[in-house]
Amino acid sequence: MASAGSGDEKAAAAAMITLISSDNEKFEVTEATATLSQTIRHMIEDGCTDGGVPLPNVTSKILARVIEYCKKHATAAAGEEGSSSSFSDAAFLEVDRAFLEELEEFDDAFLEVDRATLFDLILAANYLDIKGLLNLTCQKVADSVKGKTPEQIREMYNIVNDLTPEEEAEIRRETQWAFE
Amino acid sequence: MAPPDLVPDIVGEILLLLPPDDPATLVRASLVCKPWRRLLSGRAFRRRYRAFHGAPPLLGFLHDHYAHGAVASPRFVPSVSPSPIPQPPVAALGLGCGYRDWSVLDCRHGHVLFDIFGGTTSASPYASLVVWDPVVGRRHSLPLPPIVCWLYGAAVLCAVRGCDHLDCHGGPFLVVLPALNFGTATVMQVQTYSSETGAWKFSARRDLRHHVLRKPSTLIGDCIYFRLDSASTAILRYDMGKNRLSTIDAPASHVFKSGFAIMPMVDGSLGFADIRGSQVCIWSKNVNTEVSAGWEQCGVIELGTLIPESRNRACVVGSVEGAYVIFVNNGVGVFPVGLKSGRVGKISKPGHYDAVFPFISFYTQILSHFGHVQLFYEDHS
Repeated sequence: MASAGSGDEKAAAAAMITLISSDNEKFEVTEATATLSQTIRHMIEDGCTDGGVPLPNVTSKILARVIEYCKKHATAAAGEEGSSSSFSDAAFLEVDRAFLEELEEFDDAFLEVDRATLFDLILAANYLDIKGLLNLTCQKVADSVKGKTPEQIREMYNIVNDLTPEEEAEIRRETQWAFE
Repeated sequence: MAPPDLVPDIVGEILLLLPPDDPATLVRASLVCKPWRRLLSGRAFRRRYRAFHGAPPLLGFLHDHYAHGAVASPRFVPSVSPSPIPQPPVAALGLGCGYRDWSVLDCRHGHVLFDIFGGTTSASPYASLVVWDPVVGRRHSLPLPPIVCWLYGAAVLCAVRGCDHLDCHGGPFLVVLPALNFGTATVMQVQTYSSETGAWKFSARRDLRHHVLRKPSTLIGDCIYFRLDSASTAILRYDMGKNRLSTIDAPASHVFKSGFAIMPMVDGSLGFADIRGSQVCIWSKNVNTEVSAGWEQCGVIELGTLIPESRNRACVVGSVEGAYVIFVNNGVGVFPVGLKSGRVGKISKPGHYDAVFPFISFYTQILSHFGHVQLFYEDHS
């Protein structure tokens, strides 16, 4: 969408927004970073961001991480838009590839958190409606479930088994192959 | 410190990301607790899961295994582990022993069509057709088709018009059976069975001297394509909408009766893939116009070192409908070859594979059946 770069849009990209965490800490971010969150994007569109955006469900510790993610990915999005006009095709592909690799490394390092933080990040991504972050964090949990038995999954995620022994035995009998 | 709780809100987001080609993980997740089980078995989740993942995964293929001379018994070769389909599949049908010969006739939209011959029980002493839905474990025995001494093949397909065919399990189906009179060998007729009426219906006929081979059929729009026992007049087309039979010649340069696959192409044309030397050649033919168009070669894949060397000639033995994947067998194994990507995999041990019938399906449907129905039940018998 580089061609649509009217003066308004450039001004919007530079505009700053204040996000306020549940513990009342203030974070100044560019609108481009903030609008990776669909929730905040809608607030901006509705013009209710003057005086800052209170986020009562997100602590400062988690909000700082979320902003770190959004900053990186907003830069990535801007890089993709800008590069098409300034590079030849081959150079563009090269830059693109390097950038994607860097982004992947960033994501991997970003996920190196304890389980409590990971869950808080998932909740924040869900509340703020940040598709990429929600997908990234949920994928980490989904991957951890792969190849595990129901007992192992329950233990990992502190889940109470409320199936009766009879129900469990019946399901296991019907799907014995899945436990071999 | 105790690990934190997984709040219900996000469980759905997480389970949505479980990979479709790992059905065992889906099943095991459904055994974690009631809320997870309810979520996974819910219609809304299943719809969202299919939409999110797009095309259903290849779970493996069925083929006729010849253990003792000419006596066939279908085998399932899984491409996922563990396999959701028991081995041998016939044991799971619960029909007991006493059948001399089984073979796979077709496999589509989550249904498998078997031909059983030589039953020793008084109830079914002759040939009989059985449609099996392995995912929900449902078996449907068809009444004998109204033909005697005919050579036939058959196709099975979902009967619901406008269906996206991503989750047709447990739904109504059709069996389309083209048969050639064995005595005169001059007339081909098509009989169609509907699971909704539970009866066969004579559909169409045409003078023809070739019978249908027991190879996978191909569905494109309203038309089903069968393989004929002829190197030149290689394909039989049955238009279900117009109720009309016609034949299609193979590309002129193709000289074998077998060793090729037919498939739908992106633009709705009919695709044809065979092997010449070390190359997979792909052809297409516009079948939508009344004027008969010729075959046009539209791609070549150099197999070269992509598959291991073998003394046997490499043959195309099947294809995955709608996925641009063909199966190549050279005696060393069966190799799925992506026609767009050129990527080659391997999913079977060395052996004799004449025709392979891929089974592609999501595995979410079974989750809704837990604890509600017996694994196997019969509608009609």
